[in-house]
Amino acid sequence: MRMKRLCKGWFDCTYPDFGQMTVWILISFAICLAILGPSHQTGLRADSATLISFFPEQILSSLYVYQALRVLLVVAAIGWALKRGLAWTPATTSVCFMLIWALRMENVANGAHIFHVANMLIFLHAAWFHLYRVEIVAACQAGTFWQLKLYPRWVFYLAVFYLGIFHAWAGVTKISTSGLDWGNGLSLQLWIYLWGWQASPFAQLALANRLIAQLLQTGALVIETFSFLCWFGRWPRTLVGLGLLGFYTGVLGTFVDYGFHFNAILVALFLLPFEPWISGRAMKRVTSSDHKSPESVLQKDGVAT
Amino acid sequence: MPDAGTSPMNSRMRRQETVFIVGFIVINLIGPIVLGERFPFTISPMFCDEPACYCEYFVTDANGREIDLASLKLQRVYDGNPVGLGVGIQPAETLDRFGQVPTEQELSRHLLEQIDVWPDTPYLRIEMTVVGALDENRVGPVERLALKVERP
Repeated sequence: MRMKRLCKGWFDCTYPDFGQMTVWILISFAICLAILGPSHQTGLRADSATLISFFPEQILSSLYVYQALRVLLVVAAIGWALKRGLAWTPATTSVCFMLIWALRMENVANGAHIFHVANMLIFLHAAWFHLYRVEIVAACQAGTFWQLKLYPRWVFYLAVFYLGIFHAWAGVTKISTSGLDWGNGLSLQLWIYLWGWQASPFAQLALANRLIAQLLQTGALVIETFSFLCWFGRWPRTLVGLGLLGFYTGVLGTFVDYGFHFNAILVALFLLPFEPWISGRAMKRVTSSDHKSPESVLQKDGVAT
Repeated sequence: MPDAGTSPMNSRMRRQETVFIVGFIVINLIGPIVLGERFPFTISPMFCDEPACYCEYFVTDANGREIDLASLKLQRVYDGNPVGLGVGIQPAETLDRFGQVPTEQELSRHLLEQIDVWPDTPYLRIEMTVVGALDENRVGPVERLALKVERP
């Protein structure tokens, strides 16, 4: 009973403005990945790097497979953006995105974590479109997509859940590897000295004084470790969002070519109060018009029931 | 949207959604614990270490020409991520370990093992610079070592 109450809000639906905007942003990320050329390095195969490591070597290292997936990703992503072929375009976009990044990781000697969040959120939004495809298609055909509550809350909550766990892992891994002393300031100074953009105000500040470097580094550790608190309501979500954005601003302002821009955008989108703002505006827009449920459209068009 | 469960379609859809939600949460909670750094799962390990120093190398041949560090297995393979974790290609073999300083003997021995890659030079000169804490506030070059390694 309690579980039912807890989960009830998850199945409520709101107008699709925020969800659709997120999908378009994620699709633009997918196009960025498709544009990114292959990075096939040579060397001995390492142990399992991804969930597709069991694929035959001919597939893992094939440039043809990689290029074909890039093309398919672009086609599927554009189809999804235009809400065409919804029976297969969201799922194909998600699968192609996952495979392309997995193949990339299978063929490099240095990892990167710039597309993990985007990948999981594309998967999540593809699942939303897949599960609601009948209603979405019917609404599109009836021209009522923007007037219907088609965006289930669980999509938003699961995205917040993933952002929380992704960043919390970063904190936990630092503590488990180096202990609570990780934020000693010296290691941050060394990384900045070696790879940082020296003209950056963050870099200059951190390089000039170890105490400041220590505060920045420890602050990052605290924010990351406790980022799971974003699961517990709007205010914790906003506070964690601000903390993480501060962290990303520092990272991207210092290590300018690290490519965490995608993560930063998604953190801002989901953890800052954009969703209630956008949904509120959608609500105001629709109040004057007729509130139609997806079922009413389906019944009208004779699609279901 | 009317309460789910009012029609067979809704109740089926609610079931599918519930399965997806539970699956998504469970997989993302357990995946990184069980599988570790294996895409699409990640333990976000970047910069999880705590180096206190690192080394820069500069090698020249007898004519003073700079020699590519990778050819002597002295290149840096560390990029902030734990070396070799979550990648399909093993990092190239190298003496360089971010956060560690090789001894003079280790460095000489290593260069003697690699000198045959450059058969035209009778010797190699190497300068190793250790970057670490200069004082309580700043980092920079703290130690320099110059070596001449002759072909035996």
